[in-house]
Amino acid sequence: MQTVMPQISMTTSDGFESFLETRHEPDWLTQRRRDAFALYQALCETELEPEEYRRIDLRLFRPDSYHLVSQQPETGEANQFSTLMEHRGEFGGSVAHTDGHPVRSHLEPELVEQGVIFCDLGEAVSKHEELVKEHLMTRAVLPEADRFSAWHAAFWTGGLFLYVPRHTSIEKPLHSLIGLATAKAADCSHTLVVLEEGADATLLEETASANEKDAGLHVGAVELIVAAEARLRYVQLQNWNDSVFHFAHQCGRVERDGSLQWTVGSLGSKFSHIHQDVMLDGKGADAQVNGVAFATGRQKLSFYTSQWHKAPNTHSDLLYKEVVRDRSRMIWRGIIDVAPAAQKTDSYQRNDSLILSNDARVDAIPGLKIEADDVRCTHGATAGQVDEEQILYCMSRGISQDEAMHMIVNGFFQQVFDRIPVEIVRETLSQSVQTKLGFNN
Amino acid sequence: MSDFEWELIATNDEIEGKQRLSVIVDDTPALLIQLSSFWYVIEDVCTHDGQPLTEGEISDGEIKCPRHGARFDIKTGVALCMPATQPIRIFEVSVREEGLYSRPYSEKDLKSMQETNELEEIEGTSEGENKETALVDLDMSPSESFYDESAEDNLDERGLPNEAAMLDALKTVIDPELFVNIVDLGLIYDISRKEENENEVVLTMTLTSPACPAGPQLISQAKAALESLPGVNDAEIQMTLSPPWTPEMMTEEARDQLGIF
Repeated sequence: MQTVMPQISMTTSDGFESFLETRHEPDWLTQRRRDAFALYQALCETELEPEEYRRIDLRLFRPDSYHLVSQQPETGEANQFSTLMEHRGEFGGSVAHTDGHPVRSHLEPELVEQGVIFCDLGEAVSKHEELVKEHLMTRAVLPEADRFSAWHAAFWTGGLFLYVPRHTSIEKPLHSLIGLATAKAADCSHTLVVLEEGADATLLEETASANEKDAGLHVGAVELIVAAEARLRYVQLQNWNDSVFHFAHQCGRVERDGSLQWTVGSLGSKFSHIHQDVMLDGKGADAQVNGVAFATGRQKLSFYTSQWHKAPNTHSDLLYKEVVRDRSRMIWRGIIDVAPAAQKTDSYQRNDSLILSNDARVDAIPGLKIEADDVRCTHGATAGQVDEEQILYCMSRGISQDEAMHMIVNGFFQQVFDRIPVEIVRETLSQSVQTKLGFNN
Repeated sequence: MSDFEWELIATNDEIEGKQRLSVIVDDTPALLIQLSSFWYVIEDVCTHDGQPLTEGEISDGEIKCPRHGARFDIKTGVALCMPATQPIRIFEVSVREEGLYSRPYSEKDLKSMQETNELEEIEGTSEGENKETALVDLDMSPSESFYDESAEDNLDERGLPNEAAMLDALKTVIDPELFVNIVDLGLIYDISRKEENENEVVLTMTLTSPACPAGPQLISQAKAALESLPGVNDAEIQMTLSPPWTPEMMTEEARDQLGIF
């Protein structure tokens, strides 16, 4: 398909040095990378936080079997991905990456005039250095969180920077595509979104593999920084093939009266672990977190979600819906953490799972940690199987068994679909669920 | 014929002098274990909590989960005790010149093995049933023995507390979630004296569910309640889940109290 590209190891010091040579970055960034790599090496010697990683089986994961692709792929290659969302709607701008390298980027001219920045992160470092320096892994996702965040901080390549100035609204959604095309390639893309006071934007991001078999690795991070009274809708749809390992640290911070609506769709990957933090920093901040996950075959998907209430009158509402089939496994561990200052917090956390086969497994562990005394916090988790009688009922009405199953699974997800305001996301997710169920007619 | 390819899982050097080794078969973390010069491979994940069995203690052909004590038969994968109920996967092993090979069992082989297991299970159940009958024969239905008003005199001919007295003592133990005492709940299956020492009693009881969080508390309170009686020096508490507890085992009074009719 293409000429052999130079490969960079991500676990050795030599690999790290040769990686730095390929980057032409300001000193502060190089220094941050060096610190992060030293941290990564140190953290690899220590145990992972048991509360988060105890149920996560990393025995099949070989960090040294992946490499960074150091050469920029031929342009136009982004077209090789069968994207789920890209051709369904009209976007105000789009950025695409392949194997950690930007392949194209576009933003409508009137948005550029308004001061909106939407480009790959590497370009942002050279053109908007101060903005990136201020926000990149300084407030939301911190390199010292654990070995994966440190690893990411050392090796992040490509990624996305969205900056929306004060009181600027972007009506059309923006689109980002992250692709893996080379076997055993690693993608360390970083998504950094900064909304200034009163800004309003929607970003849809999706990941895809160029073919169905090639193994790959994603060590990513997402940072969503929402200033006072700003509104952000962010959707990430993870749709790698079933051979990719996916690790992601994701964090959203919301200031006074700001609002974040965050939807995580997890359909692909062989193994994925997402650490998702939502931090409500300012009075009256609001966050809605939606999760749609569907695992089949031998996929293992894991989520560690935290809702941090740090200021009074904050509101958060988390709903994860999960379906497992075959021998797949889903792990969800969620926590609501209310600081002493966060009186009048209103927080909800819910996880529902539907188990379609005997060998599939779900672990759901909701949790609360409340240090204020005037709050409303509730949580719950359910797990169950499809009622045979429902299928029989549908069949007695002339609906085929497959179709009945699809209706039931779709109905199960409907509650979370209803919460997603962007229509193409709803459509896309519903379509993907159907594809995963395996009857695509 | 298995549908799977043999994979080399360990070379002779790797297993030299070892009793167990972590390997990967069929993209699954597995454990290679030697039992009296035969090698077995099991999936290295406890079906109860989904975490590794790697360091589990091995004895009598069984591996014990290091966290909650579930035990599995290494040869068949069958779960032998709570809290595990599902078997672990097992793999076929072949010893060759270069080392050990392994692969998943074919559907057919697995089926025939499961059938053997089922036979064993049936034998197991019939034993269980016998025990159950034995328990019923002891006429320990709480409603009968407990509301027997003639049991006023609570010492037997030897001057030791009789069954009614012991049940009275156990009535002081209250389930902290249901607020009903354990006798009326029907959790007590049997009380007997040890033949070798009449000052020692054996209490057989159950819990409303295997995972009852109040279990340890109820057990220690029941033990203390019995030992508080004169003439009882030691009470041994035996937990059983056979027969499993059902709401029908409660007394009328307890049902009234819980609003179940």
